[in-house]
Amino acid sequence: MNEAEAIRLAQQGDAGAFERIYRLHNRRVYALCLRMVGNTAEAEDLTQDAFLQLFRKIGTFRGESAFSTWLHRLAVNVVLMKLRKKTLSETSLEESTDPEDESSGPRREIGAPDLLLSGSIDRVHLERAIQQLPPGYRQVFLLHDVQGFEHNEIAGLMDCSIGNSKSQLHKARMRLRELLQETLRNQARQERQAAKTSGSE
Amino acid sequence: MQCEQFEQILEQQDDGALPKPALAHLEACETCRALTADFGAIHDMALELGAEEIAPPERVWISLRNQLEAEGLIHDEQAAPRSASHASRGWWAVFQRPAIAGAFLGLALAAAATVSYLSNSPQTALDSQLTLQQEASSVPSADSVFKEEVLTVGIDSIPELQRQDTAVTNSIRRNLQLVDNLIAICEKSVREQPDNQMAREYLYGAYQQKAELLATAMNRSMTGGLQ
Amino acid sequence: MNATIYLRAASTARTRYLRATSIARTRNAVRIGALGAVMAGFILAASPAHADRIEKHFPVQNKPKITVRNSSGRIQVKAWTKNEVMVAWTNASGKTVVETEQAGNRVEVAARASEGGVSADDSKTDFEITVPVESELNVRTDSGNVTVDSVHGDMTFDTVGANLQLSDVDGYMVVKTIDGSLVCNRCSGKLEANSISGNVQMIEPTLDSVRVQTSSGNIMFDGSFLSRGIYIMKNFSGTIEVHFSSSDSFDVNATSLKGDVINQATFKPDTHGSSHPASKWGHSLFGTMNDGHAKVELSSFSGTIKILKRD
Repeated sequence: MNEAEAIRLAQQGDAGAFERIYRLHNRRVYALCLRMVGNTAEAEDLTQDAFLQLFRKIGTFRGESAFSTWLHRLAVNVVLMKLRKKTLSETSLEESTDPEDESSGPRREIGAPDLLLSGSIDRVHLERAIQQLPPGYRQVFLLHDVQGFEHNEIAGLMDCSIGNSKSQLHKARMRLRELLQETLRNQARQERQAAKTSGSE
Repeated sequence: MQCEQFEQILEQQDDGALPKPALAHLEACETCRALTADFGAIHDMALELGAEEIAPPERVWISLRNQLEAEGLIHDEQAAPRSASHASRGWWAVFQRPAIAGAFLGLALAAAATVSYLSNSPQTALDSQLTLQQEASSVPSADSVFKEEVLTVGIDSIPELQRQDTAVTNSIRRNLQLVDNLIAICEKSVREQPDNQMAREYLYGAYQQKAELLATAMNRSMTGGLQ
Repeated sequence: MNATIYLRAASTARTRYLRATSIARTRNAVRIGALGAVMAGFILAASPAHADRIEKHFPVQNKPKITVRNSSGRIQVKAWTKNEVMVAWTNASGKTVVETEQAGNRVEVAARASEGGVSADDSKTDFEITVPVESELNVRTDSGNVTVDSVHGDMTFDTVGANLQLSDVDGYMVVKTIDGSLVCNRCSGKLEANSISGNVQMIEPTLDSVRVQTSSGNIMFDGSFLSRGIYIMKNFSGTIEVHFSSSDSFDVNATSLKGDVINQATFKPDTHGSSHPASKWGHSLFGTMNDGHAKVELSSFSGTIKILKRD
């Protein structure tokens, strides 16, 4: 069953078609949710919610855009709504989710030359650094650089201006750069110490 | 051009081509070249992350499927019926009674709308209400359906179940009575303390439980308790 | 139907840190054997002489899915190491037909009346099902008891008045019941339970997600709060009782609108949120125990919430 056929049958309530659509897209949706919320339990719930919304609304899909794009947008909406509803007691360990909040912007270091990241960072480094970002920065970065949304789309999803979206993305990239450079510096330091230790033996 | 100005252009450029003055600064400034190169490395790595797919555990599908069946959104064409009455079995049977179906849907919409309205974020309430308005455009007013149907529906409305005098029926009857009592208590509480959000949430929880209990009763009556 | 048997954990040791896999396996094997012997004896003793025990075997691959549909009677599910599902049943009246079907790795078992107008007593069918340790279960029944022992996998249960006992299971358990009770002994994974008047007890669990809701049932949790775990327990009336040790780490939010909140813990002000405005309605308690690694939400309309220190 191809996707178009599955969508047609799903609009008639066919269980096999629903499962086919789920199997085609669940991995991408789950990856998106997991990156945005950072824990598996919530990501599972959000994945389920996203597909539930999808299947409730599948009758309204008319093929104006690619189905995957439609689903993608829906999943992002589900995650963002959940993040907005989170109580302060759940999120106060992290900084504000308000994209307007610029109080925690990264400082531009002046002085020693920066370590170049190209060729030195891997996905694990980047994933860890992303998780250390404040929520507002993280969401914009994930939506733009990871998921490929445009700033006008992000502005609509996150209810902020395009200027804010660009500003938050820039700050996110600056902060990630700092975090990744620190990671590389720590690694280099450890390698030097290890070399020193083995040299002295 | 100074580095700070270059950075502002980089921020506003949105990955498009840089203007000539910025390009000229880039050629002359090693620091900004390093910054741009690093942003490129981060962006490229992020694209790889975006292409990565992670499989959720199978329980997500199981739970989703159960929910879809419970809402009557799916039916299994491939299930072999074991008797002539197979078509009327399962949760789907609830929706063969328009009154119960409308009450159930109206109840769920009313509960969702109220909880959304009472949430702290006005924007969230607005988003939820917009979504609900779209979905509810084809059903009668939740409030009117609810008052006419769910509040007055009891086990007497399910004649098939009335005819059975089993432990199952008695249990359903007893618990329907219990839930009706809870609804009465919660309604009184909400009347006396209209600002009490927790009381409202319990009230709508009780409505939802009654609707689910009626659906279970309908389901059991269709199957005679056996499948 | 509203049996309220409270089982209290006797051990003072922290099973979370001391339970070794080999000890658990040995204990499970002994328990399975003992339970099997007791149940076999019980079945033989309880069944009239003319009730035939029918047994069927189904070879399966990894993680089979087993679906059971029954009206009344016992359902016991145990685990073994074979790649096989064994289904055995007895129906004393002979007025119930049991249909079994296998499609690949799915095994479906359903009991139905062989004729119309069968009474509840006559439809009573007792099942004994043995499955591979890693299995998924889907059980629907109305009355009788359901016991599941040492199965690892996702499980759903839908009952009216059947009482459920899950022991040493691990997976995502979804339970929906009207007035059946649920007892979880040493369960791991995630639990979602929704009951109207049944009680729910979780004894020595290592669950990282608990969502339990009843209307008039009591809820009891006596186990560990795992780091990053979420524990939400809600009822309308009845008691919600959670037990903690001084080394547990959790944030708590406990509110009873018309009942009491009894607390034996010494909490710090909640470190993971801004100040909670004092609720004008009912009795509330917010706080953090140690570093607040888990989240506990307890809510009741008119019942009593008890946060008790484990001896």
